[in-house]
Amino acid sequence: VSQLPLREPTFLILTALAGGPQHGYGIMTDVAEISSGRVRLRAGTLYAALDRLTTEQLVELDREEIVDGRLRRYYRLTADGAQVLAAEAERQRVNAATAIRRLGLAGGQS
Amino acid sequence: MSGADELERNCRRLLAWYPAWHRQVHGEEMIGVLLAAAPDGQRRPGLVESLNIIWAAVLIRLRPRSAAEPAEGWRDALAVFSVVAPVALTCFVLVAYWTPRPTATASGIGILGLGLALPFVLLRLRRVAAYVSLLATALLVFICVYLTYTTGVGAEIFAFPLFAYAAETAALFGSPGPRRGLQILTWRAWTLTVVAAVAFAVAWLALRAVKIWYDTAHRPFGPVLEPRTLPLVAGAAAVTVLAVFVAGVAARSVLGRRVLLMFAVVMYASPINLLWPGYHSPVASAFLTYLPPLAAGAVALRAVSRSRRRAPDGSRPA
Repeated sequence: VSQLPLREPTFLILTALAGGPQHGYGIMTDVAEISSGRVRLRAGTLYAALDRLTTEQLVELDREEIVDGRLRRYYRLTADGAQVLAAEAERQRVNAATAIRRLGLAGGQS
Repeated sequence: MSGADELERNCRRLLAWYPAWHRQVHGEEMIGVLLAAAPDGQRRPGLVESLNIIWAAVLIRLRPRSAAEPAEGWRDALAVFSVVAPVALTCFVLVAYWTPRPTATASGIGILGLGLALPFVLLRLRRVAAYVSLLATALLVFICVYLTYTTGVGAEIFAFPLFAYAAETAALFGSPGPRRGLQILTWRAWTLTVVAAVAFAVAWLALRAVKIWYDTAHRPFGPVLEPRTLPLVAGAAAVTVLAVFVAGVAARSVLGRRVLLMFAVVMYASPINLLWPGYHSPVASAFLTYLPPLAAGAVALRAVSRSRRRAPDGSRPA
């Protein structure tokens, strides 16, 4: 997959959308939660990423709602987006497993 | 004004850093996100938030076209040209042909004829404006042919108004017209248009004056730069730099470049006639004046017909 490795904000946005369609502010709060408050997306970064991910067809528009007179646009992961996220997660898992094994931190190997 | 209203107004001001298409696509939802993420009582976006928006907006302006960015085909460029051309060329003529001279008056009055279509353009009446423009073009062709054969006036002096009429007519017939053009044009584009038209006109006046001085006063002995000519040359240079700067700003978008190209075709004849007047070699001058823009027109027609075939919604001009 040519997009790999993903930058952390991109990885977290795709992870947030893997749980189901979300609107912009929902993605921001979810990313903060997934990363335990370590990554706080700003609006500029979020919409630049969403714009790029839409162009790369990893994310697409799900639906639009008007809430309190304001437009809410929900985004969802595409099949390609899910594939890229799975590949990145597997890449990170293999790397993490290798690191853990070499550090002798894995259960039963100490 | 309440704190929330003030915050919203400041957020909108901040989003002006983004290109218009991005604001159109994401503007309202970004406002919603910025307001939702702001702490209670906040009246303006924080420094980090503001810098983040500005940085993201600059990057979006620099990167290649996004999928969300609307396509800017030749039809849109023609629609913009159909509105901008009569306004810009009327401004240009009012300034550049202020001093009555025989040839200047001919093409000046000629180009002012475009003003006839202007009210219909501004009223968004595409078809009426197109037929008025076509009628004006036909009349001008008749006058051009009649005067060329009866008085011996060089056909090339009518080139500027003729190209302007023909381009306006083509733009009105070949595009969705002023309704679409006015939708696309922003106040900044209008300011650029008027500033560019006046700047080009002033530069043109100065260049003409220098040329007349060169041709009449010093021909037998070659050019001698007199002190009274220096401010004129400096003024022409300064205004030309301004005009080039304005053109550079307009050229940042695909649509802007296409509109500039159409203006270049319309204006092409003027410097050619200035540098190579028809009295040296009428036939060569007529060919040099008319052939390249006609070839450009043929290429443009082909591009428009291809753009029409590719229109995704299959829509036709109203």
